[in-house]
Amino acid sequence: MMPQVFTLSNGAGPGEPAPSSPAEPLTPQRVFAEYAPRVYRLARLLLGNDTDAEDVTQQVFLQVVRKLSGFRGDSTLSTWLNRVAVNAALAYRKQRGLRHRHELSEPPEEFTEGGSHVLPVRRPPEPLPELLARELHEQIDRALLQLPEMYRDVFVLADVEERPNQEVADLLGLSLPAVKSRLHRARLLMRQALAPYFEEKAA
Amino acid sequence: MITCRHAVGQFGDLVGGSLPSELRELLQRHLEDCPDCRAHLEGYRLTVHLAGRLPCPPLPERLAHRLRALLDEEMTNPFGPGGI
Repeated sequence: MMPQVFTLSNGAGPGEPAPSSPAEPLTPQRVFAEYAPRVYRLARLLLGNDTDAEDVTQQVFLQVVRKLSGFRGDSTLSTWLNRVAVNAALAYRKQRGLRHRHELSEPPEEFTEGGSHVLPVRRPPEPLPELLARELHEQIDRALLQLPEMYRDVFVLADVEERPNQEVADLLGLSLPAVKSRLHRARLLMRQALAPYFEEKAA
Repeated sequence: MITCRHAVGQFGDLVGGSLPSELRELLQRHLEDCPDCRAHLEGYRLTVHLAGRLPCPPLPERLAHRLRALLDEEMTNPFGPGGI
């Protein structure tokens, strides 16, 4: 029995795995091999735990297999999968009424009444040692799970998945200014979580 | 002249490349004189940079097994995508 094959245009965006050659046919098996880890990571970051992420990843790939034949090809597979994965994760979260205890809330008040920094700001070392980069990645992973969902969703889509702000707005049903505002606050919170790894004094 | 609070508030647009040129010049002048804001911006940029390079770990084995089984089942389903 011949597997179904679907040809998609090579619209590699940022962070999207490059196909082996332009317009190379994609089978569901190849989609699984190339995209399943990213879908799982996205689900895990949005939902905050492995078990729920596994359930959502399975749901997403069931849709992939059943609907790939109807894929119109007017957007990249990555964008389509993102939309399906995000919708599945958010619906799952809503349905389960998932609530997580958030350690990181609003960005810290770092400024005096006059608008100056209250304390000296730590700066990251440059160049960044490889070992520190790995530690920072682990810290990002931990800190992300402690972000309020309104910030985490935007940060994951915009900065981890590197989707354009407008696409993030469309995926989450937000206005563009709302995305930019939440993203900025999320980055401030994440930067705060990484700051203990930075040097003590600004140069 | 802008304050540190105002400067930090512009970092999102600066990193996103959408800061108007007049504001960018004001921010640049402030950064030249403010080591704290320079440090803050470096940390901000690094946070974004690292997020975009967050490793994608391999699928948990049990999930990979479930997905492979799901694909096999769907592809051999006579009424499904892989069937007649």
